[in-house]
Amino acid sequence: MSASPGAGDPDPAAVDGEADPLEGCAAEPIRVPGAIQPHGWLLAVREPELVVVAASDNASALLDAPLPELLGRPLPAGPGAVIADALAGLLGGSPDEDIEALNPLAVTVGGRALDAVIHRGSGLLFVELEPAEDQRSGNFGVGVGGALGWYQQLRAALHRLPRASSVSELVDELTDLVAELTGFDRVMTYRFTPEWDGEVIAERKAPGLEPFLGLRYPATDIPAQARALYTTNWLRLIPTSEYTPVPLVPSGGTDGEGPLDLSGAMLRSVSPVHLEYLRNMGVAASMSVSVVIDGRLWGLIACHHYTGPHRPPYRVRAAAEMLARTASILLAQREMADRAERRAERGSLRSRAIAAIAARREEDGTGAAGEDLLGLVDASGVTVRLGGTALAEGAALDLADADAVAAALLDDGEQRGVGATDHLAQLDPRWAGLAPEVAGALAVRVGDSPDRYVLWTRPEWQREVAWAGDPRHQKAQRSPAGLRLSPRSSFEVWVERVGLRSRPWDPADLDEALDLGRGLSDLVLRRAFEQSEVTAALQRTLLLEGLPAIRGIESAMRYLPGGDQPVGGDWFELLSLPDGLCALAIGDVAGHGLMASAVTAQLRQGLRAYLLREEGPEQALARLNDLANWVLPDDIATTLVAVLDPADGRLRWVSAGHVPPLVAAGAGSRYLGGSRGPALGVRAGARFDATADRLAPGEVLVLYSDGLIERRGESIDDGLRRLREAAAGLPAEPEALCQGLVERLAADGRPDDVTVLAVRRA
Amino acid sequence: MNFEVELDDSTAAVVARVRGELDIATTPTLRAAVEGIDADRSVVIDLSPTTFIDSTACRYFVQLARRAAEAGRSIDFVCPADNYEVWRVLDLLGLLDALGVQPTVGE
Repeated sequence: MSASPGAGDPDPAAVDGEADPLEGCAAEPIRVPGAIQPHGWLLAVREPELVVVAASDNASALLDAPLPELLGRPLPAGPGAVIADALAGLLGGSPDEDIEALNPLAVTVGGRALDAVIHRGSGLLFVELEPAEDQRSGNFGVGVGGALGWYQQLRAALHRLPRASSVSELVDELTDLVAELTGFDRVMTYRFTPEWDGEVIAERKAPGLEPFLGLRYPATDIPAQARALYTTNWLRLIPTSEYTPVPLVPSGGTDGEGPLDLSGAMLRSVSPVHLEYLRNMGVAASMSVSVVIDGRLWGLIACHHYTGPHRPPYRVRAAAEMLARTASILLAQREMADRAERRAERGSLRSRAIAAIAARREEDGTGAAGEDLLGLVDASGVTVRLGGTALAEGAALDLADADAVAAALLDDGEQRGVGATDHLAQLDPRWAGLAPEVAGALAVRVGDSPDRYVLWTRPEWQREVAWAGDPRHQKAQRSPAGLRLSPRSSFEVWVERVGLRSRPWDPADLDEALDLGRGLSDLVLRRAFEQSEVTAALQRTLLLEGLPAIRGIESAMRYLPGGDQPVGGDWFELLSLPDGLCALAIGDVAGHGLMASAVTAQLRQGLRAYLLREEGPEQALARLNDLANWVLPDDIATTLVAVLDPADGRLRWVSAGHVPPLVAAGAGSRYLGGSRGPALGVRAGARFDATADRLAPGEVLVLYSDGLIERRGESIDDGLRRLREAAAGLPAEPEALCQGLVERLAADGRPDDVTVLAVRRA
Repeated sequence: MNFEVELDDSTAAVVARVRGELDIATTPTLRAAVEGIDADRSVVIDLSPTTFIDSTACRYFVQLARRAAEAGRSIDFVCPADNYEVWRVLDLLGLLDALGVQPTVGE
């Protein structure tokens, strides 16, 4: 147990690194050590006659009688009678809580002022005695200003605590107050996670001590049975780590009932392993106070003293315990208020995110929604996948990874529509490679389509931790006293355990995700309905139901929308011009959906008008570019226009950033080379030069969009090569060629539209 | 996860190094990164380590360049020809000239 917030819980692993920490600790009889610490005396007596059932070995000196004479008899005359007198009249039928409220009882035995502390347990009355100390003579009860009594300090403290406005302020205040009250060299507050790992969240220390703030510890540091003890027994003290335990007599227990249970005894002796550990750490004295909320150990206030033995008197300890109990109540209230606040905050984040997504234009990305989406569940990355549209914010995954992770999380057999892990690498070892940026993920389905989801990610946890220096070099330090362990060795154990893991998702995160998923699902349904009619109308405008019959040519086309959007950014045109010429055009607007379709419609109408009015395709395209820069400044589009004379095959073509036209002629298939201008919308006033060529009888001119050739991970030239090879193997006939090219090249699941237009002289 | 925008603040201009695939899903990340840079700083978008760009990214470049020109701010784009897959897309769209794409990050 490296951080050692508890003053009595052994952790063999921290010392010799060999024993299984869980097993070693589970076996440690910490409740029944059969011994006490030597700074006091213990008597276990049976009421009402106060017959001594067991006593610490040193009691004979205090009571001035050999142990064998003490056992089995009422407290003897002399010193024993003083104690019996102090108890007389207090006990009777008083309930346990009432008698503990009497602590400490002041007794003077053999001229020494003692504090007697009583409690009931195992059917016995335990009387523990320790030297009282004049509160004004020691370090104790001397607060700022010098002369305040402990009770005045406590009263001031109890006023200070409730003023804290947050959990962290409250914990800081509590840590400061305990440090001031008890005078320990180091006081730190340690908080447990739901998995019982812990973190030092507040620290007050003497100058020159290495800070432990921010260090984290694995759950094994404080084993379950120690935590159970700390939940009922709020304070443990070891005034010196150098002590020799004083055995209890009889050692085998009372009346054959087994060894005496010292759970409630303040003098309970702790594991020798723990003492060795404290000494190795250079800790001369140690105390810990529990913080318990709703019956669960929330945290510990751990106090260490380095400069020598340290024993705050009982009243001071009781005051520290009272502070911890008060803080526990305040923390419970504060946490409840924080949770309510967080719920409200999340609700408004959620509404804002949904509204922002609803109002979003594609090019805005997640836009305003992004930060809200991240804040909703404290994630570092988010992907919103609504079919063919994907938005990402922060440290989001690649779309392919996001799809795979979401599918894995959502396919849990329970069909809850939500799934999460703090350990992606466990789900699939390949995902270990996503760390450290992504180690955990939370997915929620939007509606019931598998390609609609929201996926949040969190980074590897250890990366989030504030490092107090590099722990790897400070595990053990040589000192004159020999090898010293440091809490940092425990931090390493913790880091190892959380490797490749993220901070876990809590049930509130999953609930939030479900609520957001439902909200988005409604939005998608509503939008789909609103768009369906508009889309159908646009589709009629944009995509000719059949190609017009133009004298002198044979033509065919294929259009396959990409993603799940019924209308994409591709468009094409085939029209006859005066003088028997015909014009073919193809274009591709960046983006999908209605926005791209609207741009497409404008460009297409514009081009028609310019082609009919201008001298040639180069002038038409220049005008179209001016139009694009003027009315659509935020969009870019590629376009290729060709004007063909069916009579003699003369061809003039011009390109605005578009992939080159292909002439399909079996083995002689070729690309037309020529000059190319910038895509529309890139540069106002750009010039476009036409290239002249000739289409021989039997050759097919093929215009296509880049969706036909583009693949990730290769250059466009690779795609061009593939297209020419495909064309070479197909008949030079428009209909068969279009069909063959689409079958061979348009991959399933492609993100982009695919358009092919083929024309041959009749 | 392959996509990352690294901001290098060590030179006169802030260099935004774009690693991985810049597409409809990741362009918003670059946009956010660039929007986070002080408006009075010059910016270099370094596509040397970029493995893919789609039309959404190109459209964003054009918008970015246009806004910068309007604001009198300097925005440069870098893509060496040996990053051919990306360079070729810029070439095809006429963006090498229009954006003034440089082969290396200058001083």
